[in-house]
Amino acid sequence: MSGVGNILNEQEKTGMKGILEVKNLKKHFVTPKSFFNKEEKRVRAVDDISLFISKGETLGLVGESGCGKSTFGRAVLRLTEPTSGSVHYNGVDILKLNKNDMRNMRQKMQIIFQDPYASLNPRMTVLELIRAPLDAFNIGTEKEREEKVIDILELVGLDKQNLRKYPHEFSGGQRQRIVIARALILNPEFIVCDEPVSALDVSIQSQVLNLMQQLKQELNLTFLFISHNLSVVKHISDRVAVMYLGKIVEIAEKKSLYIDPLHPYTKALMSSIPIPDIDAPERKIILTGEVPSPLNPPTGCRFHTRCSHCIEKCKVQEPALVNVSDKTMVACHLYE
Amino acid sequence: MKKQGKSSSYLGDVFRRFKAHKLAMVGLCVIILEVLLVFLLPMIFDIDPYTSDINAFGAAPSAEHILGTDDIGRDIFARLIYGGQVSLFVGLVSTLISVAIGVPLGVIAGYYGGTFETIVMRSADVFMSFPSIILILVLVSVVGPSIFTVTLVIGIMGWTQFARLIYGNVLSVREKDYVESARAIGEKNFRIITKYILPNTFAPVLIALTFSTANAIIMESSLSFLGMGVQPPQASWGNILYDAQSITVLSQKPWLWVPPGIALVLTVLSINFFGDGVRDALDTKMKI
Repeated sequence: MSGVGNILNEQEKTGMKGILEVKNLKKHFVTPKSFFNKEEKRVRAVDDISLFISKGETLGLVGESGCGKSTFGRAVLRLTEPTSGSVHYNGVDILKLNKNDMRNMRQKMQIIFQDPYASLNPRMTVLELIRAPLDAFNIGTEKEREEKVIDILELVGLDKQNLRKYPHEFSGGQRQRIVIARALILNPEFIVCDEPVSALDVSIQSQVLNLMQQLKQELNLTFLFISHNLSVVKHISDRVAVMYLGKIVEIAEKKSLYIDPLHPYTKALMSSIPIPDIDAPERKIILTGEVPSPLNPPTGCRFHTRCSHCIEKCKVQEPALVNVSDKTMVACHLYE
Repeated sequence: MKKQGKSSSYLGDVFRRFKAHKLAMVGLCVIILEVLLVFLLPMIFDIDPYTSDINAFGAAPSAEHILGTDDIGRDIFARLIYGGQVSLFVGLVSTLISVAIGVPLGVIAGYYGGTFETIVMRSADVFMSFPSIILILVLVSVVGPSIFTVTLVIGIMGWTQFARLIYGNVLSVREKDYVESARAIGEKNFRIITKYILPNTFAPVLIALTFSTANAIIMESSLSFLGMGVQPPQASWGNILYDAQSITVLSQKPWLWVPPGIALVLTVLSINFFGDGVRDALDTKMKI
């Protein structure tokens, strides 16, 4: 535990603003060469992503299925080992930490998974589930742990009568509350929320979202909020990053991104949000074709095969993610 | 999601479902009865499986010898009871040996993978590609036949089925979100295996346990029948049958081979029914 203390001191020395700073992060899944398969296959799930998250903010990460959002979230926490790059958390490169230091670091960095049915061990009671992180780090006495569990259960809006129950006795929303309680019990600072509400009924989604937002304020948390649901991301985020085929194509403040998207892909995404008004003019941009395979991504700009503004340069040269204004970054040749 | 019934704990549900399984309950009762008979009866009554009754060689069932005597005048009932001790001992202990070897190897191979996985699983393949009865015959003839060698050898030969079973299950369970979330909350590998992986992979092992016990009992009988198992004068169901091989015995003295045969079939069947019941009871999706 002293490791975490050192890390915090170090942060004060360096005086960094971002709680989390990701540089050139890559995660490639490689199928090894074999006798029958001379060619190495490389799925570029996360390909050279750099971004930062400031303390107390929520960064939304959107993109369609299979674009590498979840892989990015897991790579940031080293739940899958990144191929290259660096992830600085409070100024410490966590990719360079050894196993034990990384384990201690996990007290500060947590994750909430998408499917609350799959992320709770079916053979453990609520008490055991939520207490597990305290057990793992040997914090407090038996009694203190149980009291802490009851406190945190109350915080997420569940009754302490539920302590001895098993996950299968709960609804999806309640389960996700249990998952949130487990993620919060070690007082983390940073939480990766990997599509935390996608598996829930729409009526429950807003409840859980509001709970998360309220907890974030109360406990001064920082979120990386991964979702394919643009409305959900709009509701909860401060800034939003748009991902396409393993790359970030645009990062901007929520307001400017939703009102004035720059990248053609972002524009198409934004136009797909349904407007609850029958008189609203139809202004959908329909993308043609399918997402290319990350096994064999297009040359140049990865979006050029589906882009309506594609120029010759897009096919050969990959655009860099550059600042177009103070807080907006976009990777597109149209804005250079 | 709420299930009917008062007890809502996992084990309570399992127990309730098991009780509803009639054949399994019958099997369990038969096994308990047998164990009690075989181990308690010799303590209460003076039963002697070794001494010959000079007045009754190969005698048919009578008041004095309720299941008759064999060709050298030993009481079949007494031999059946003592033989039962041997059979149940071999069945249970050799299965425990198989589990003790197979489960840790399978779990570690499945969880960590890598070179260890290759070594364990390929040697399991090698073990399985030998006809086990012949291997056991060779081993027993080298070490010398006795209850303990037979138990040990059957136990050691049986590790592959547990290793493969649990290996396959661990492969699927370790990819589950709850295992990844366990890593995310900082659980160590040992606790992930004992608290997250094993409880969720153990149901099939429990079932295989029952079948393996039944198999070991049969295996011991076959070995004894072939003369490589428990050595006379000690009795086992297998060597009682072995003594009853001749055609005259088979056709004219059925009391020599019917009782051990029935005991063997009854035990194996009961254990199998019990295993069936356990499997159904552990399946949380079964609604009984």
